[in-house]
Parts: sequence; C-alpha cells; structure tokens
Amino acid sequence: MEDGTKLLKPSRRKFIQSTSLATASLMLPIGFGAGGVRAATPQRGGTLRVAMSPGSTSDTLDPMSYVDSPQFTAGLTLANCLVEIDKDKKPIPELAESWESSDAFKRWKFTLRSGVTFHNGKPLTSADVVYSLKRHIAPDSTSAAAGLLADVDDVVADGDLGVIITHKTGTPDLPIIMGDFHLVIIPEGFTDFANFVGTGPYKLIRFEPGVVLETERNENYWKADRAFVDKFDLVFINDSTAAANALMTGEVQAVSKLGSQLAKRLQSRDGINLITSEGGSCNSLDMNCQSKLFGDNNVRTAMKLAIDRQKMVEFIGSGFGTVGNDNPIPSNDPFFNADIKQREYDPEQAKFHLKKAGIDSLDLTLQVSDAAYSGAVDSASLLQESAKVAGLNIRIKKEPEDGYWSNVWLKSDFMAAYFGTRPTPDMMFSIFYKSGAPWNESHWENKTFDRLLVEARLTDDFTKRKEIYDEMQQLAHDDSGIAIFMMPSIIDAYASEVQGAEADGVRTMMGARVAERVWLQG
Amino acid sequence: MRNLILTRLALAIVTLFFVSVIVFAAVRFLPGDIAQQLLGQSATPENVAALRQQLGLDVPGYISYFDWLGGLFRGDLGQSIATGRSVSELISGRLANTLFLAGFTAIIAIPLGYIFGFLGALLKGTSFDRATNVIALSIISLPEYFVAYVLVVLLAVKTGWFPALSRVSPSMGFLDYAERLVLPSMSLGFVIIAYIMRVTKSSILNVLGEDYVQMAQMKGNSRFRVMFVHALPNALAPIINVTAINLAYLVVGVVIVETVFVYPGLGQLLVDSVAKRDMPVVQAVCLVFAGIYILVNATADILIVLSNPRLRHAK
Repeated sequence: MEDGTKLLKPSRRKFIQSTSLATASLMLPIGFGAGGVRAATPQRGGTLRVAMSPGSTSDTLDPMSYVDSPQFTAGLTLANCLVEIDKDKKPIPELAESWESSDAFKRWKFTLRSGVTFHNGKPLTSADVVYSLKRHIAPDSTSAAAGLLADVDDVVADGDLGVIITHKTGTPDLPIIMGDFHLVIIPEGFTDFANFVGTGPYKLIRFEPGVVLETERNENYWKADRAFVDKFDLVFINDSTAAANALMTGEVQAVSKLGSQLAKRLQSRDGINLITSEGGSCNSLDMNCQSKLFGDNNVRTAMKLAIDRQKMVEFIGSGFGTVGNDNPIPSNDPFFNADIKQREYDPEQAKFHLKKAGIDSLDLTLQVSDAAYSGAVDSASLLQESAKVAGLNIRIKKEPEDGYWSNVWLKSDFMAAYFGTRPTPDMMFSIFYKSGAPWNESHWENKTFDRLLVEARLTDDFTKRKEIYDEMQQLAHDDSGIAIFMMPSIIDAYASEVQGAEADGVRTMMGARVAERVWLQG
Repeated sequence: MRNLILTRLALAIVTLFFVSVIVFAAVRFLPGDIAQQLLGQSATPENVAALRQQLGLDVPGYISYFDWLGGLFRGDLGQSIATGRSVSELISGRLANTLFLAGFTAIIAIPLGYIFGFLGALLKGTSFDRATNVIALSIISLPEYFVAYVLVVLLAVKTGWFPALSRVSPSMGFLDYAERLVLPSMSLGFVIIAYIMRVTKSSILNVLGEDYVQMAQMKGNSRFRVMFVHALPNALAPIINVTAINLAYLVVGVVIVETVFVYPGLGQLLVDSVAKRDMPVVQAVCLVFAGIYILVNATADILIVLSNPRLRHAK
C-alpha cells in the first residue's frame, strides 16, 4: 500500500513540522471539534451512512460472535442492553428501569421497563432477558463474553418484569457489566440471526456480511427522544483511504476510527468535523515477568525508562494520542490516579537500574507486528534507537500479522501489544493484571495487587474504592511488565451535516450508539 | 478435434484434483487455528476448546478431505464454519459480481487493446506509436491500486463524476450498477489494454518481417489485406494467449481493486475466509478460481490449434 497512500501522505519534513503543532493543540484534554458540534434541536429524517472496519464476510449478527466495534454498533442499532453506558462511563437505565443489590453485591435484581416490544411485536419479558444472558454463560458457550461473565452464577426470572442475577464473588460493577456490547436482549428462544429481531432503534432491512447492514427506523421505539434518521446504513470499508474518499464524496456521512495520518489530511478540510476521544486503548510493550530476562523489576523499569514516549505519540500517532504512564486507567476515568508522576525518557536512570540488576548492557529480541497496533513496527525502530543509549540492544523480529494474536501474543517474552480499555478498573485489572488471569499479558504476579482487587469489589463507597484503585495503579506503574507508552486517540470523522456527535470514553462512534444519538441537519 | 477437446478436459479435471489436494493441505498448514481466529483476542481457552469440538476440528486431515471430496461430487460444498451459511449460497452472489466486473471490463478493454495494437503496428515509428508505447509502459509499471487511487482522486473526489465506492446491491438497476463499475473497470482496464496492445503489436510486427509477407506486399496487396489476411493468422497464438491470461487475471487477481472500491467480489471473500481460517469457503473459492483459470487456458489452447492449420492437421 506504500505507493497508493502517498497521495494522501505529507512529505517527511512537512510531517515533522506539523506534528509539533498538532501535539500542542492536543494539550487540551478533549479533542477539538467536540465543542462546536452540539447544536440546537434534533431533526427527524434522512439517511445516515457510517463507514466502519473491520467487517468480514464471515460476520454474523449473533451477539455471541461480536468481536469489534462494527459488530457492537450493529448490535446496539438493532437491539438494547439492560443498561446503557453513557459517554462518561456511567451506567444509566436502558431496558432495565432500575436495579438493586443485596448480600454484598452477590444478588442483583433488575426491574424491566414495561410496554417495550420487539420488532416482531412480541412484548419484552424477563424470560427474554434470561434466555439472552444465559446463552453466554452456558458451559459450552462460545461467546466472546464468556470470560466477562465467568463469575455470574445464574440468571433467573422473578415475575414478568423482574430478573435476578447472582454473582459468585459479588461486584458493585454488575450494572456496568450488563452494559457490555454482547449482552443485547433478543426474544426467548431466538436463533434466526439472519433475520435479527431486537427492541432497538432500527429494524433490519438487509445484512450482507462484510458489505453493508441496512436498517430503517423502528416507529415503535420506546425511547421517545432518540433515533432521528429514517434510515441507518452501516457500510463496512476495510481500506481506510477508501473510507476517507467515501466521506469526501458524500457516499458516507461518518467514518469510524480514522488513521492518524488521514486525520491530519482531513483536519483542515471544509465540511468535515473530527471528534477525538481519549483513552480508548493502550499501546504497550509487554515483558514476561516470569522470564529470566525480565524477572528482575530493575530490568523492567530500565526498559520503561528507555522508551521515548513523546516521540512515540508524535510519530506513531501523528500527534493524535496521549503519552502513557504504564497505567491502564485512562485520565477520563473517575478512578484515575492523577498523582502518579509521569515516567519520562531517561537513559541515565535506565542505566542506573540496569546496574542495580548487575547488568551493563543487555541484548534482547522484541517480537512485533503491525497487527499489535498501527505503526507497531515503526515504534520498535524508535525504541531500538532510544534504548541503545541506555545500554539495551534490541533486535527487532517482525512477525506475520496473520496469526499474531494466536502465535505471539501471551507466548513471547517481549512483544508489542494493545488492549481496548474496559469500562471499569476492576475489569481492566482482572483481565490483564490479576495473577493467573488468562490474558495477563506480562505474566505478572503480585499478591498485594490481587488482595486489593478483591477488597475493592466489596466496597461501595467511592472514596474508599478510589483509594484502593489508586494504590493498584501505582503498583501497576511501578512493578508490572506492561509498559504502556501511549494511548492513541480514537478519531471519528463526521460530515458537517451530522449533528449531535460527541467524544465518548467507551468506544468509537459514540460508544457504538451512533445510530440512535445523532441527526442530520436539513 | 474431438480427441483434443476430450484430452484437454480430462487434463483439466486431473489438474483440478491436484489443486484441491494442495489447497486442502495449505489451509491445514496455516498458522493458528480456526477456533482461536473465530473467537478473536477475547476468547478463553474453554471457549476455544468448545468451538473446536463443535466444528469437528479434532478429526484427522485425510478423513475430512475425503468427506469434503465426497460432498463435492454430490454438489454440496459444505457450510461455512464462520457463519454457518451454505458455501454455495455465499459464493454464488459474489461470483456473479466478480464475473460481471470481469465481463464489463473485458468487453471494453480487450477490443481496445487489439485496436491500439493494430494501429501501433500499422503506424510503426510515428508519434502515435511512440506516445501509446510510453503510456502503455508507464501504466504497466504502476501498481493497479495506485492507478485506482489516482482515478478516485481525479474522477470522484475532485470532480464528483463517478462514485468513489462501488457499493452495489441486488435491487439496483443495470445503469446504476454499471455507473458504479466505471472506476474499478477503468483501473483494471488500463493495464489490460496496455498488455494486449503491446503483445498484439509486437507479434504482428514479428510476422510482418517474414519473407512470405514481403511476397504478399510485392504482389501488390493493400497494407490492410496483408496485415489481416496474410499476417494475422500467424500472429494469433500469442494474442490469444495474452487475452486468456488477462481474462483469468480479471477473475482471480482483482482483490486489491475490490478492496479500494469496496466491491463485494470473490477475492474479498477469499481474503476474509483465509483470515478466519474458514476452510470450506477457502477451498471452494480456490477451486472456482482454479477452475476458471484452467478453463480459460484450455479454451485458449484449443483456439490456438484451431487457428493454425499446421497444428490442426498435425500428424
């Protein structure tokens, strides 16, 4: 693709000059564009087409099979969850009108809204919710949400509109878990996903996997103040240049997750608004804490100090992103620990730590592929340069993109990786940091951390929980093997006739709820 | 003659059989397994094990090969592992799209290639000849996605004459459909015109140097008659060959253009299926591609024999 994208690529010199400008403008925590877009009263009508990737001919509409933002968006266009997560990551009622917990967060009762109907006219009852949720926790389930729900014991109906969910260990985050993209509600016994039926804002007209999802407004939608356009189409465009072209020629009115270089080119174009959301994912270099090489935290710390984070954001993200501080909790999370000092590039300090480990210089191999995150191979070269000064000699081993996640990820002692931010610190930590967790990327084991994780689950008081999470973030920053050097911005581009679009802390395209939230200015 | 065709067909079937074995083995040797790929990064080991069993991935390779081959003879291509839909249903719509794009492009580009080739031979050494040569060479050396992007920038983004995407749907009318194919067929067509033109021109020029052609000229025949009646029959073989290769390329080699224009053809289906390790689909698409390739080449061989009396009456 090198030559093909040249048209849209600035020269190297111009690129360097303008990145410093873009970085300066990003000092503001919220991306530009977000301010001017909120406009007057929503209007009804029109067709909205949104381009997203990745889409594949093997996609299905079965919620158990959803893997990425386009499928999540399809799900929330056609259906609803029990709980909606708003743009500040707070759980608000959706199909469940209210919820309460008892028995130290082990028993939860959700009360459903009455009068909600599916697209086929069937009224929503607790049996539908039980069916929808239990598909994911069945022992032989192939659901991508099985891990998330591993501690959910059972889901039972309590009358027509009550649902009781029991949790093995208890967690105050259960409502947020119920807002997960896989947990959309379908009618009891439903399996005909080619003709999907939900309670969502739009009804399915046609789904051609990897090509398009066409929908029309659900006239009986139960949310009165949502779903403004008459038709909503999700167009799957995997080639980012093609997506940008489609936006410029008006074939689509919005493009999700624009690459940073394309974003720079579109930034100044009339009729296009960029909305950047921060903290959606973490780019990291993962060191295996159980390996001989990285068993000593001094070596891990040396490596963390040997990364020139500022340069990474400038070059890998074209300035669209924030510098990472080896802390997976983004700064827009309510539990973010702002007191941890930002780790800077400091080769002298890195050498000092190496010496403490009894090493003068170290030869190691970094396994990397652009599958890890966009620009990963380039970031390895940057690291190679900055780390050499600190006495860390890195050999880059470029792995094939195809199969990177099954062959390299979690198996390598030193690799590039990324993970999407989960809605709560508890999820982030239990998935990626807890001892023995299947995806513990750096095989880190810390007893104090594990104890705090459980402790936080039993505390409902925000201040107390925050104290615990603060300490855990500090531990992750100091000791873990996941060196998060950068949190790339999520850049969504909208044509200017699209109104109501906002940055979202959860996901691209307004937390995958773009269909029901924006409108077209006539 | 009948023998020739029958031998060709038999050979084609044997080749197809070998292709099927190779494709089957190659898919098995791809790194990673389908259960892992299907479930993505967020799968737990229990998930993967459950799915492997559901899909019957624990069965030895040769058994599933013969199962598949048996199904093939019954006209059953099996079901996609990733979507559960029937493979023939998945392929048929996409194949139609691919053939339509190929046909649309071929009908325009191939005759143009011949015409420019003949003109180049007739007007050898003139500025027309030199200009077409330079243009053809430059187009051949540019990768097709580059040509595609340039066309999009000029004819879609700047002028807005044609749509930048080739999104098509079954409910579209023919004209709408054709309009959306203009840019992709141009991107493909340029290269084809250039290739066919160069081969046509050079093979005619080759023959024009022969003694018997000079004889025909000395007899006072018109240039036109010399070229089409005397020279062309002997120049046909390479022209038929290059046409066949380009036709095959139009069907099997257009995935990049499909990607740039988001056109739902077979190439994209193959790429997606390889990424998901969806073996039944990969195998079926490869067989379709191989079948088309072999068919086009066999037809070309037969035509070459037919066009040449020396081969036609070979002893």
